[in-house]
Amino acid sequence: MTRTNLDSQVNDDDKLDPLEILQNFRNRRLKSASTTIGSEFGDKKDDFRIQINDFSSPALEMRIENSLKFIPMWLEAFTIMSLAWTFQPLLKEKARKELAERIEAKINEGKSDFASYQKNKKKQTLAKNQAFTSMEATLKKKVTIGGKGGKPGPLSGLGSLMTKKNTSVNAGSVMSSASGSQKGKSS
Amino acid sequence: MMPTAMEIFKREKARNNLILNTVDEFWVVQNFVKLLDSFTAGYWIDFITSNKDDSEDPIQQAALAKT
Repeated sequence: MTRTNLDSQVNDDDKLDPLEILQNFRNRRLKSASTTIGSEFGDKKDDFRIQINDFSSPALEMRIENSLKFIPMWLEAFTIMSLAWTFQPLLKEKARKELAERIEAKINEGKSDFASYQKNKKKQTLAKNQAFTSMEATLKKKVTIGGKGGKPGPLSGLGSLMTKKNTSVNAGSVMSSASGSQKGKSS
Repeated sequence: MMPTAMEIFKREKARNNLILNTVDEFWVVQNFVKLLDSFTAGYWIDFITSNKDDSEDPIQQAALAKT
């Protein structure tokens, strides 16, 4: 029986260093790129070198751009997916369908475009401001009514807080004036 | 959405109508958080950390220096 040298049977491709393959690919790519672009810019074919990012392509960059643009949408998708995968192995068919319907209803309820979101936000802010101004006006009115009668009203302390001159009035004085008015009423 | 799902889960558990009756709320929430964490971490690695300039990437710089 003759011994065969196993090393001699190994294919040359198996011995190739991956970095060498990369280098080979790189050289070929650069050559083709220089040939293509060099033809547009005269005879500088050999000197002209462009560096292309191997790890990105226009399609990939578009994907990244879109993914960064729509972060809230992605997060919403993750939440729904997690919810579905959490409850799917637990619930039976009927309950699963009910959950799906209720989730769908919630999604449709919250669905809106940016314009309507802005509109709603504006409306809410206006309503808040109006409520605040009307509350302020009511407080001022009450204070003036209390002041007219000569007797200190229940909100007379607050009145002194509202005026700019008596900014140093503290809560204690407000409380004492309020209790004073109560005493006056009881007597 | 989570309160809705928990409401259904509790109701079905009370009826003893779950596929896995031994699970509790803790298991559900833990699973949910783990899944959410996996999704967001994958998203972070794929799109946020990989979306940097070539000059900030030492591996790319080393590869480009060879050419």
